[in-house]
Amino acid sequence: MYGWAGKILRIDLDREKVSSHPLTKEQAELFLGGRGLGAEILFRELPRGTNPLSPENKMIFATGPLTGTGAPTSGRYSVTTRSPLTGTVFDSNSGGHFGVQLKRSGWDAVVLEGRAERPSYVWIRDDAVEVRNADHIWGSNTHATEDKIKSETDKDAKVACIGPAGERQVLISSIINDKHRAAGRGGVGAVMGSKNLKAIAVLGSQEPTTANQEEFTAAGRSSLEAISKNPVTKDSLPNYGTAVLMNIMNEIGALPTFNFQRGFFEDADAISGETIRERILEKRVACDACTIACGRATKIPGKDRQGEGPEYETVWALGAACGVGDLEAITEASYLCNEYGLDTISTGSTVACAMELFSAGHLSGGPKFGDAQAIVDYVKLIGERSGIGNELAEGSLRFARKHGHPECSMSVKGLEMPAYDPRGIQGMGLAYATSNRGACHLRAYMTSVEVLGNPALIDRFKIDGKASLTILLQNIAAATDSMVLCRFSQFAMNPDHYARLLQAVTGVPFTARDLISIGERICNLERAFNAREGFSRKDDSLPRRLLETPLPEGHSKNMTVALDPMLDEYYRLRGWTSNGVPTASTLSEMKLYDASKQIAEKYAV
Amino acid sequence: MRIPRQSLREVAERLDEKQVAGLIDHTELKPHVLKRKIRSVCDEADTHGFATVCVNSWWVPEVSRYLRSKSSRVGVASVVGFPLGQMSTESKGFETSDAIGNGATEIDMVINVGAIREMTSSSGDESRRMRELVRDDIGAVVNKADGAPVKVILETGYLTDEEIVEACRISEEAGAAFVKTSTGFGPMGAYPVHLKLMRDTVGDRLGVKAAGGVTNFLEAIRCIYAAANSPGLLRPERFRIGTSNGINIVNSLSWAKYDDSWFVEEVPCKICPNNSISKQPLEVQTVYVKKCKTCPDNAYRKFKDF
Repeated sequence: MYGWAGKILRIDLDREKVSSHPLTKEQAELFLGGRGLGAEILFRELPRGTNPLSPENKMIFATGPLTGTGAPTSGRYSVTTRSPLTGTVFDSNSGGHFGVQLKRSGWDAVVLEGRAERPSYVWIRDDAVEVRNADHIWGSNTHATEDKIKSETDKDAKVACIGPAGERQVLISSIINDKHRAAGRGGVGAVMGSKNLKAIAVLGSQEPTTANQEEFTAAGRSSLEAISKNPVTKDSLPNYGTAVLMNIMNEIGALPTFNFQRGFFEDADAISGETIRERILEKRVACDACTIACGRATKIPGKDRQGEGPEYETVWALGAACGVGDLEAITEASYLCNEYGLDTISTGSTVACAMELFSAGHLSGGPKFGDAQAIVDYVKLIGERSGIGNELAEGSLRFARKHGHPECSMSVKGLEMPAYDPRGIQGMGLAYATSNRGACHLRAYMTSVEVLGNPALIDRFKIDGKASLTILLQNIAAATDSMVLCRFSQFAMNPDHYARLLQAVTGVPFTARDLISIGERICNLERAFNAREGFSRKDDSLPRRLLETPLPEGHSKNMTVALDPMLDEYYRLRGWTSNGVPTASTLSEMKLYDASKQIAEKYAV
Repeated sequence: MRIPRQSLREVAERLDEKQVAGLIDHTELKPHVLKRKIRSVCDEADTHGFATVCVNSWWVPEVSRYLRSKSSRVGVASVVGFPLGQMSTESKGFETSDAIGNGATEIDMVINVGAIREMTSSSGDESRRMRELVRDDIGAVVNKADGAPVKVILETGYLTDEEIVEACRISEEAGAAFVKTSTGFGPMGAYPVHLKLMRDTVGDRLGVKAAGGVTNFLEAIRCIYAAANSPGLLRPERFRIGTSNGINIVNSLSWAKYDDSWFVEEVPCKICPNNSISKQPLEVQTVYVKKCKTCPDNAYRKFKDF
C-alpha cells in the first residue's frame, strides 16, 4: 500500500488499552481517509441514538493518503464524531502541522473510545502509545497546555488539545492544534472533554511512501503552478488573508450584519483584510506544505497580545454579525477563543443572537449590537460557562429556543451559519441547507462560483443549475477532505489535478470521475447516518428570516432565498426521496450495502 | 446578446485543453515587468503549448532568444504603437521592422482610434482622407512585418458599431491577418457582441482575437461562441485569445467536463459592453446608452443588479 500507512490506532480510554488494526484496501479505495474514513468507521461502529457526550461516542482523528507527502496544501487532518451541537455525523478539519506528524507516526487514523477515568492525554511516538495523566494541566488554556505537554514529551511534538471550554463540554468548543489552528466546528472539543481527554501529542519519524515519485513531482509542480497563477491563491489570500472577503461581501450586499438582519455593514473596511494588514499584521503564516500562506500572525498595537488571526469568518462573527467594527476588540476576542478552545463562528453568532434578543427587548440587562467590550467579556463567560455564558455555551439555537425566539438563531441543524448571506448568493443557501453537518460554507463553497468567479462566474441571484453545481462541489469537497487537502486548493486546482496527485502517490489508477464518485459515496454515507438518526427534509432548511424577509438595502436588496425549488432539484439529482433520504438502491449503487440495508429497514413502512 | 445554454455546451464539448492552449497568446504587457517574469511567461507558454508569448517590443530580443534556447515552437508576438495607437505611421513602421528583426513572428498593432473617429465624424474628402490614413497606417505595418501576421487592435470600447465594422473593413483592405478587440488598457475588454460583429464583418477571411478580461473557461467559451463557432474558425490562424490568465483558463476548463450547469444562460446585460461605458468618450457613450434603451433585453436593467 502506497500513500496510506496501512494501520489504524485504536485507544480504549476506559481501559487505557491500545491496539493496532489494518486499514483495509476496501476502506482505503472507497473512502480514501480523513472525512471519508471517519464517516465509514462511525457509521459502522456507532449504535443509533448514541449520546454524543457519552463514553459510547467515538472520535476519529484521521489523515489521508496525501498527508505528509508534501503535496500542495496537504498539511491537514480531520476529526469525525457525532456532534453534540447538531446530532449529525460531524467532521472538523484543521491545518497547521499536527496532521503531518500523525501520519509520520505511521497511523492513518486514531479511533478514541470510552472515557478516561481521570483527565488524560495521549502521547504517540511512532508505535509507542501512552495514555498519560493530565490532572496537572486540566483547566489550562490551549497555549499553556501545548507548552506543558511539549516539555513533558518532546519539544518537536505537535499537540492537539482542548481548552477550558472543551473541558466544560461547551457545545461550541473546538480542538486547537499548533496553538492557533482549530478543528473548530460542531463541538468536537466538548466530545473530547466528555472523554476526559485533554490532548493528543504526536511525533513521527516515518516518511510516507509514494508509488511513482517522478510522476508525483510532475503532478505537484503542475498543481503548484495552478496555485501560483490563480488570482485568489496568488494575490488575494497571501496578501490579505481570508479577511480579504470582507469588503467584497459587503460590496455585493451579502455580508450578514446585526445577526443577519442586514447585508451591509458601514464599518466593514475597518475590520477588512486590508486593514488587518495595515494595522495588526506581523507576518504571514503557512500550514505544512502550503505556498498560499493565508495565515496571519498578528499583534494588538500597544498591548502585549500576540496570536494568529482573526480569519474572515472570525472577524465577521465577532464583528459585523454583532455590529462591532473595533478591530482590536475583535482580535482580542479571537485570541481568547483560541485560548479557551471555542469555535469563533458559533461563538460570535451566538453572541449576535443574544444581542438581537437584548436589542429587541426580548431579554433585558444585556449588551446590544455594537458593544465591543461585550464580545470580549462574553467569550470569557462562554469559555467558563459562567453566568449567562452557561446558556450561551449551548449554542444559539438552544439559547434562542429557551427564551422563546428560535427564529433568532441563524443556524441550520443547530450549527451557526458562516459569513455569507444566502439571500445574495442563492447557491450558498442550498449548500447551507443540504450540508450534512449543518450550516457550513466549506461543504460546497458556492461563493467561489457565484461571487469570486472560480472556476467561472455564475449568476448569484439565479437558481438555475445551482443544485447540480452544489452537488459537484460537495462531491469534490468530500473527496479532497478525505485526501486530505485544504479547500483553498480548489480555487486553483481542478479535479484532474487532484486525481493525478492521488494516482501518483497511491499507485491506484484513480480518475477525476472516480474522485467525484468517492465524494458522492461519502456524502451519501453521511446522509444515511443522519437519516438513521431521524434527519430529513425538515432539517434541510434555513432560518425563516432568510426565506421570508428580504434584505433591506445594498446590492442584494429585496432578495430572499428561493430554497424549495433548488431543494427539489437537488434531491432528484442525488437520487434521494423528496424527503431528503437516500434510497436503498442509491446507496447500493455506491457500494454502501450496510447503509442500504439499514435505510431499507428503517423506512420499510 | 443572448447565448443559449445548449450552444455553449456544444462549444465546450468540442474543446480540449490542448486545443484551447493553442489559441492563446500568453500576454505580459505591464510596464514594470522584470526579466525573470518574462522568462517565466516563456516557460509557461512552452509547457502549455500556447500560440505565442505577447510582449512589448523592448522584450522581443529576450523572448526570442530564450524561446529559441529551449527549442520552443511558441511564437513571439510584439505589440506596436501600444497602447494608444496615435504614434506616427513611420514610428509604427520602425517599431515593426525592429521587432521583426529581433525575432517577432507576429505583430499586434493598435489602430489610430482618433483617426477612425475623425473619419466617421467628418464627411466628403476629409472622411476619405482619414480612411486612407488609417489604411496606410496599417499597410505600413503589414509591409514592414515582412509576411508575419499583423493583428489590428481596434480598441472597440472607443468605437460605435459602425466604426467597428468600418475598422474591420479597412484592416482587411490593408492586408491585416486579424482584427482584435482591445489592448486591455482601454475602456473595456472583449465582449461577445463585439466579437460577433467583427466576425460577421471579416467572415472567414481574417482571424479575430479576443483580448481584455478573459480570465476563465466560461468567458473563453463565450468568446469562441461569438467569433469561432465552427471547426474551420477554431484554429490559431483564425481565432486567438489574448490573456495573461491563460493557465487559469486551461486549468479551469477541466471543470466544464464534470457538469453541464456551468452553461446556464447568462443574463444578457452581464455580457453586454454597456456595463463598461464609464470611461468612454461622451459621444460614444451616448450611442451605447441609446442602443441599450431600445434593446429587447432592456427589462433586465430595471433591476440594478440584474
